[in-house]
Amino acid sequence: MQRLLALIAALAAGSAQAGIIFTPHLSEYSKLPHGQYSELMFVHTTIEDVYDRTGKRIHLGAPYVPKGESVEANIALMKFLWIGNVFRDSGIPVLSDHAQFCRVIGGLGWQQSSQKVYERGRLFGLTGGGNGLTDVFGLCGIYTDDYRFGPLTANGLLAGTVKFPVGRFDREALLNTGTNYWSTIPQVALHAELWGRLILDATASYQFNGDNDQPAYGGTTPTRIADWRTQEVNLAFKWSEHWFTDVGFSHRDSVGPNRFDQVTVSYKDPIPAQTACDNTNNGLGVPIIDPSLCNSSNRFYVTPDAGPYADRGIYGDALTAGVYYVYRTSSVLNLRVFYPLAGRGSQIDVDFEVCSDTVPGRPPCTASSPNYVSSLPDVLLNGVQEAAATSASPYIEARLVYLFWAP
Amino acid sequence: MHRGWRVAWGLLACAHGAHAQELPPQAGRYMPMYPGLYLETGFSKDDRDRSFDAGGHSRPSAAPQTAGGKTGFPEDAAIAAFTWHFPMFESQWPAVLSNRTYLARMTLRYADTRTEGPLAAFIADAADDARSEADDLKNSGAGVGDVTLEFGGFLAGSRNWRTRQRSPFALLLLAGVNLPTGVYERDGPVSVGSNTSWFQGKLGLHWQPWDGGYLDAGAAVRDYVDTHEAMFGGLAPFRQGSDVIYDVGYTQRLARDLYLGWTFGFRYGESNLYRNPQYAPNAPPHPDANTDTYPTPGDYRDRGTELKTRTLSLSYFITQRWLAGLHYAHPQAGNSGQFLLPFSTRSPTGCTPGAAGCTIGTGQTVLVDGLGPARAYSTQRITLTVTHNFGLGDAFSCSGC
Repeated sequence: MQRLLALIAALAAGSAQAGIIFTPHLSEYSKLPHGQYSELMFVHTTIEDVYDRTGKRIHLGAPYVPKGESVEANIALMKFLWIGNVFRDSGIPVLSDHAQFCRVIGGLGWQQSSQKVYERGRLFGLTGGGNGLTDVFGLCGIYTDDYRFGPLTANGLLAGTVKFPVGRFDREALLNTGTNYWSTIPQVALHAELWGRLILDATASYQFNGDNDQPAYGGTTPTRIADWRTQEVNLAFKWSEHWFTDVGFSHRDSVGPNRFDQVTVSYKDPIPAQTACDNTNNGLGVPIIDPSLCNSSNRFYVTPDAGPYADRGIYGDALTAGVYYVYRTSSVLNLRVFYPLAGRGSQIDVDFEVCSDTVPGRPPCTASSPNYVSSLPDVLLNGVQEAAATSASPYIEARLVYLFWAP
Repeated sequence: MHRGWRVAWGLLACAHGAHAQELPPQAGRYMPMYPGLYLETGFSKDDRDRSFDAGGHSRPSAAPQTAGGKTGFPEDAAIAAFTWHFPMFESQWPAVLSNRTYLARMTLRYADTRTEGPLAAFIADAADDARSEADDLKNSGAGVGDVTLEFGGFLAGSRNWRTRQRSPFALLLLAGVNLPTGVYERDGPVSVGSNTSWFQGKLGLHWQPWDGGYLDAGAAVRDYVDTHEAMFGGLAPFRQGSDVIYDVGYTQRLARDLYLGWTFGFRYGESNLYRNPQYAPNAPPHPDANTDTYPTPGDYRDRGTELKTRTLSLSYFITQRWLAGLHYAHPQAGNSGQFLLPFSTRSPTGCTPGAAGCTIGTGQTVLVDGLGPARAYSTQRITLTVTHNFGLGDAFSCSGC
């Protein structure tokens, strides 16, 4: 049984990337035989809905793009796990008689937005998608003793994860495979089995997030990212040596708000007056200029106040359900659905100034500018990417766990 | 090691060599191998400074419609393909499934590419940035490429894998998918990644007519998914036409560890669709100071693409587990995607069509080059490959079964 479970396990802290949350799987925290393990995981999601700051489910990009638009994210992750005891003969208390583990997770991502989304981004000189390397997660930890109470067996683990921001990060992109900030994640976890049939994995972690001094998509990704708390539980049942199913629950919430200090989103080119009047919802969700100026031959541009702004913090609750097929002792196929139950996303109220394009060099627009026209206070902008947006759309995981170097 | 199996693993291989960032075709590519893991790596250099135009003529530029000289898209690419050959389903499954071997392959890529010549000058020119979409353009890209996954089974020729007795005939059915994880530069004329998924079905036939001779022939159909953010302002296809791909090759052993092979590759691509191009390097001039031009929004099609390639391969077993190969690919014929792009005029310059006071008129129509997968390059490509056999054995261990 232990060898079988070794195949399925995939230690990972509860973390997120590109709107995709990594949640524990069957026997995620079980004490495995010493050796090296590998895993390949594909995640696909099409995000059509997100949560706003009140917890209401809204369509992606509302109110600036029509309903039905989406972003598609695909991530392929490779995971390597080592379990052993490098302190076995050292005599160091605790370490010498408790196995340790280390894990590295990295991968590739492909993310693309639908046509209306990227066409909108183009107005601001921004792009819709992002492909390339993901950030790299490295974690190490130690297992506790085994505990046995009749038919119940259990073990725990303590781990620490570091997210290295080496993934591709494009400041102009709505979606990125990298995050551009460091994270450190201490974690405790529990694994328990009842009669070897009912398998419980649970974890709690706290993610310390560093700052992102180069936010993306016009500064609508936060510069000071709130820390996160994560609690997750997964309950699995073994139907046979080959077949398992599981259900899980995940809760993640930020500790305080995200803060935005470098909002720069603005039209790439000044827009004609009539365009601004004809499509006042095209840029900022509010009329850009007064209707009396619609016949003006001038063009207009806007400049946001850079900040700071703060959202109301984010959270997300989700349900997972999956099925596992174990082939011999070297391969596992796993299909899982992640379904969001509730959440809160990031939105901020940004102040803009409107100026006419009548001054050479188009200097930043302020209330004291000679070409100043008006102010647009409290324009609602959506926070984007993994630290701010909370997806309300489900996603699918497909995993292949394969023992290249079976213990 | 049984000599036949040794040759087989060494000459294993991948797809056709019609596209860059693909390993060249090698003999034995549709031959069943003894279960195990194989790695093939390759490094290729391609100047990509010549291309076939839509009429099939080789032109001294990768983008011949851009005036001013020779445009080039040189690319260096490193490719690694991991291939597993394995049995599945054990003995309790239906014999039709369990008595043959299967194949799974993952291909990883890294590439460095850039733009040279007059198209690079167009990218660098900021004169029109204020009143056109051709601003913030990028010249080059480097990074990880797309990932290709393939899976298939041998319909014939692998039944005796346990005894290592090979059949002179084999038939492989292979399905593939491209994961467009490669770095994609939307604002450049070339990119490392394609940003486009594709699905492929392939049938490969292997025949060993005599000792030391290997004949392989394959046919594939490939369908592409739309890419919503086609690069360089939409001058690359929004929807790439389906490909039909054939390859035929023969390899002969010349000496004890030396093999020479020829492969002919054919790729026929259906018409590509371009949606709402934003600009063109050869846009018509502005009629006057108060009027400019812009591409008329709409869907446009080229007449499809085609490329016929001959590849000469020399392979040598350095040791039992290491094989080195040198491959020279010569494009024999082909045609690239080009399409007629009408321009509209607007006055005053830069006004938004449809807005009051913005006068729209009919402008000139120009022939533009389709970019990205619409280009069929007529440059020679040299690839150096090294193949390693990690070892033979049952890929699915079953201790205690």
